[in-house]
Amino acid sequence: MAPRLLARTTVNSAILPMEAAPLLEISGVGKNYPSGQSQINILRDIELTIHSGEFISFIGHSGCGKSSLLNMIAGLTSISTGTMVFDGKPIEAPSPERAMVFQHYSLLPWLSVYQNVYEAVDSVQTDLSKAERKALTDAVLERVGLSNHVHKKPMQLSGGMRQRVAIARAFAVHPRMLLLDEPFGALDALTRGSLQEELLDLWSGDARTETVVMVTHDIDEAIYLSDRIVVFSDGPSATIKEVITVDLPRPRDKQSLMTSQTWNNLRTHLLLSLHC
Amino acid sequence: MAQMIDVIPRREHSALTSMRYWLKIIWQTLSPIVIGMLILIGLWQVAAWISAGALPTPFATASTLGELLSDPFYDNGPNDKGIGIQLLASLGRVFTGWGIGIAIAIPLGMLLGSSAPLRKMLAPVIEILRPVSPLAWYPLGLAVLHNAPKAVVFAIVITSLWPTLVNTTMGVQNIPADLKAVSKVFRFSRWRYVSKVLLPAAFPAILTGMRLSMGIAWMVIVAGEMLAGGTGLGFFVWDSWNALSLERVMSAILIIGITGLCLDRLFSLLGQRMAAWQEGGH
Repeated sequence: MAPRLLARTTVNSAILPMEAAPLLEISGVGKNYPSGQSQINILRDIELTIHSGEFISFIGHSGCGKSSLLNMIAGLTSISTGTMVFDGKPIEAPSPERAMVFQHYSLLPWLSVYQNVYEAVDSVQTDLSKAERKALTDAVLERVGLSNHVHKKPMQLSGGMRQRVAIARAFAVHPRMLLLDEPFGALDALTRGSLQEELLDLWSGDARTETVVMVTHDIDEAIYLSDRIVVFSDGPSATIKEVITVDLPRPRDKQSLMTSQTWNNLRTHLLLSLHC
Repeated sequence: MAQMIDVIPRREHSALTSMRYWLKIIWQTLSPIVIGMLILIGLWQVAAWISAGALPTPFATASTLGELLSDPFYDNGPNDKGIGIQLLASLGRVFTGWGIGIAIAIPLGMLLGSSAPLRKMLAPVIEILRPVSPLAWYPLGLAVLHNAPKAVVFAIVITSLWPTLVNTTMGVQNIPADLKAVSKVFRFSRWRYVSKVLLPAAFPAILTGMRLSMGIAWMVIVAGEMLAGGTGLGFFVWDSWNALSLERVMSAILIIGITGLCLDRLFSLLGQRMAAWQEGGH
């Protein structure tokens, strides 16, 4: 542990002296995609350290590579340069430790709500008995309020309910880190609001899943949910423009927050940061 | 159909108007089919006249067909069997050949669909073998199997596997990236991936392939049995030609066509059922 701290640039260790080892360390990461004869650089020089218990948002314009970075953290896309270390080990492949919720739900349409969650639980929770796996599936579905819909197929559910299933599936495997790729982007504003609150409930209530990284387009969503907001510069060849700490106490109450000065300052700051 | 049902007037309607309504629906559905059939029979009749008796008329064919169907399962020795026996013999070979064909094509297509290097390797082989005429395989089957009916089945196996192979490959290749990502993130075992993701996702394409394969198998059987002799509709057609009974040839053509249509409809019905089930209907 000590050599790694020494090897790193002194900036972070100065801010966070002698803190526990970070959960995720991204340093010097870049991503190139082949384009004909040459390569297109999507991301460059990404430096980011995420600690256990943090809620982080990635925000930026379309095509800035924030989703690519999330996919690289998931292990679904390879990195072109740099290193990405999760819990002391380099990320090489996808793992249920970093469970993911996709923008378009990615439920298996031919399986019922229950089966969609159970297949993931059954695949990952190999330490549990069959009865315990079933009980866990029932429990997470109850927590997202879908107990009365377990036998339905995804096509029979609204978008919000489908995303609840996907969130239940991700929480059910007890990931160390939950990755969300614009999870509420396809939902209407009212549904989005209630799902944001449910996500916070699940996150603060479930001690095993304490770290969340979410990609979003929505400034209010980022402020309401996050501890830190990572702002990306415009692509191609995007990088981190700044990291904003959201200094708002939890639990957060949306209504009182939205009229507070801190909220307005953050909002204005983010708007300016994203629009010039 | 769905739009028509929407047209039902919502105000009170008597039993008579509703009966009129349904008669209208039946008329609207059946009349184009009837008109099409009448045109076909008319053209056939004209062709029979022009050929000055070389072609049988629809009426002569109808009476022969009636005779054939009145006793479909008689058996007077190897060269004189009822049309039903011939039909069953053909169907038996078709299903055997098609079954073996798809049993090869589906697993192979799953492999090809999942592996780009394998696809590149086998694509030229498939593209060379696929357009070969079914009958070109027949002597090969005969040489290896020393049995004419089995050689026909062999030709069906070889020719009917391509559509299923190509469609299965495409179906597996087109599995949404998101679903593959889900299986990786939740660390699905190979078996879980195949049974819960790959097969259901590729199933509509596989079914289309099976349907096209069945169509080809049904085309090949008649030609194959003409060469092989013995039993089957193909043999029946050739035997009738040798006996100079074109009424029997035409009757056989009608039976072949209608059976082919029924097989095809069976598959599209199955496909619709499966699609509805996958999306949560019954």
